Amino acid sequence: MITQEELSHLARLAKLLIPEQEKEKLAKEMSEIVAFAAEVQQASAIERERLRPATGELREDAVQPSFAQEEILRNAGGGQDGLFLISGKR
Amino acid sequence: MEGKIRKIQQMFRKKTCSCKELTQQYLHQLETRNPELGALVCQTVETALSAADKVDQRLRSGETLFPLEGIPMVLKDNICTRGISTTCCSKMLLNFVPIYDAAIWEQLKGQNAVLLGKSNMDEFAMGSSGESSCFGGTCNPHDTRRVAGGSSGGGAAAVSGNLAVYALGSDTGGSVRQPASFTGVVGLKPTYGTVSRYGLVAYCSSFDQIGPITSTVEDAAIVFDAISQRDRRDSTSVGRRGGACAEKLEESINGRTIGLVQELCEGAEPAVQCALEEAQKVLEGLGARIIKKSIPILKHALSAYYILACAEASSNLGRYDGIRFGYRPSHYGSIEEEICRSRSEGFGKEVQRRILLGTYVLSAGYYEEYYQRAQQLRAAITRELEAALAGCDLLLSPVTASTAFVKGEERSSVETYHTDLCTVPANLGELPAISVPCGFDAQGLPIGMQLMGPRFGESTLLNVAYQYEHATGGMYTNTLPMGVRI
Repeated sequence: MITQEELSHLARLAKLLIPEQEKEKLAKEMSEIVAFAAEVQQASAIERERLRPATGELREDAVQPSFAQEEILRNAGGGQDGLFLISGKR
Repeated sequence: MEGKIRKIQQMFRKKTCSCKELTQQYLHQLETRNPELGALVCQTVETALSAADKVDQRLRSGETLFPLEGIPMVLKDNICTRGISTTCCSKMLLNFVPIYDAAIWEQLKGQNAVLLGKSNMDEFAMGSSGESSCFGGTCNPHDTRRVAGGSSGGGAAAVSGNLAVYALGSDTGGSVRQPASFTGVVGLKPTYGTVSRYGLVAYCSSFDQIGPITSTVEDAAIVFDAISQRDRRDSTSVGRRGGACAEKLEESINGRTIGLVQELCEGAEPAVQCALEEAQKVLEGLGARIIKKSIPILKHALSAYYILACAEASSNLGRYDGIRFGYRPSHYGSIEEEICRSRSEGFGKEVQRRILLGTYVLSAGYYEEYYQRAQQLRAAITRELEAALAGCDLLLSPVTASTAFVKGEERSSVETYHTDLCTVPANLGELPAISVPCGFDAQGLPIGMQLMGPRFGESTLLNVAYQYEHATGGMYTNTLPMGVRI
C-alpha cells in the first residue's frame, strides 16, 4: 500500500511533479503495482543466490577525441558562451 | 520460404530492377500506407535515395554486394542516427537530433543499407501495445482496429505491411518478439551482448538487446549474422560465437529435443494452444522429439523482471533534466523547478509510473526486500533455465497468451505487465529467443510460437525455426495481398 505521502516522497526523489488531483488515483495504481512486485518475497524456496560479479571489459582511462562543443550544445538550444544555459531564456 | 533479402540482391544483380527503383517503390508504399498504419514516425527519403544511388553505382562497376546492401529497412526510434531525429516517441526527445550514430547504424550505413525511416514504439520502449507513443499507436496490418504490439510495434507493422524488408527493434522483455507475433512476422531476440548497444537509448541496460524483425527466418539469420559483432564501445558486447547462422539453416533437425514449457502454456487462449499443438506435430514430423518441461520458478519471473526493469529505468532516465538535451519547459523559477517540470511534462504517464516504481524498490528500507530479492530470483531463474536447456536443445512456448488486442482497450498496468509472461524469461536469463508465426485465430489474427535456446544458441534456434517454416510452406508468415511486388 502506497500512501499519498509516500507517493509525494517518491516523486521528490525522482524529480517528478504530481498534480494534487492525480495523487489519489496514482497512489492506488502504484499500490497495485507494488503488490504485484511484492510477489518476489514469496519465492521462499530460493536460497540466497550469490550474485554474479559484474563482468565486461573497461577501456583504458585515457583521453580520447571528443565531440565539438558547438555540436554538443546544439541539443541544448545552443547554450551561451560555450556553456549550458540554465534557468534562463533561450 | 525463400528470404526476401537474398531475392532482392539477386534481382539487383540480374538487373531486373535497380536499387533506386525498389527504394522508390517502398517510399511510394510508405506514402500510401503509413498514414493509416502509423508504423513510421519519420521518413528519411534523401538518406534512402542517396544510399540507393551508391548501391547502383557499385552494381554498375561489378562490385560484390555486402549482405544487407541496398535492402530497404527501418530502425526503431530509440536507435541513434546522426543528423536524423531520434525521439524514443517521447515528448521529452521530440527535438533531439543525435550527434553520433549507434554502432549498429554506423555498421549498416557502411554497407549501404537503405534507411527508409524511424519506426514507432512505446515511449522509451515501455509498453506492450505501442499505444504509449507520443505520436499515437501503430495499427496492426492484419486488422487496423487492433494494435501491432510493443514496444517495437512500428517496425513489426512495417515488415508485416510490406513497408520495409526488415526492421531493427530492441527487446527488453519481449519488445521484438511480441509485436512480431501479433503481426505474423519473425522476431529474434539475440543472446545478451551479441549486438552492440552503443547508441541504443538505454531503458534497462542489463536486458536491452537489439534484434531483427523480418518476414522469413532466412532473412532473420542474414540480418543477425551481419549485426552480431563485438564493439568495444559497449563493455557488455561479446559478439557472435560460432560461424554464420544462415549457412546452417538447411541442416536436419532429426533427433533434436524440444522442451515444451508447461508454466508458459498455462492460461493461453484455446486458439493459441491449438496452434502450438499443431506446431509440435510439425516439429515431430521433422524428427524432433517434444518433451514436457516444468520450470516452476518461472511463476516469479514477471515480478522479478518488472522490479529490475523499473529500477534500471529510474536510474537510466535520471539523466533527463532538460538542460543538456531534451524537453525544456517554457516557464520556471529555479533550476530545481526547471528539471522537475521538464521531467513531468516531458515523460508520459507509463514512463513516470515505472520511474516511481524503480525509485521505490531502490529506496532505503525496500532495496533488500525488492531489488535484491529480484536480483537473487534472476540468478535462480537463469540457473533453472540453464538446467532445463541441459536436458534439451530448445524450449518451446507461445509468445503471448492471446492475439493482438483491440486499440484503446482499457487495461491496468498490472494486467498489461502480465502479457509479457512468456517473453521475459529469455531476457532474465540473457538467452536468445525467436518468435515464429504458427497459425491464425478465428478472426484471422496471427499467432506466434517462441523457441528459446541456450546462450549463443542462435544457430540451432534459427535452424529449427527455418525447418518448421519450410515444413509449413511458410503458410503462416505474412501473406497480405498489398505491398511491393518483388
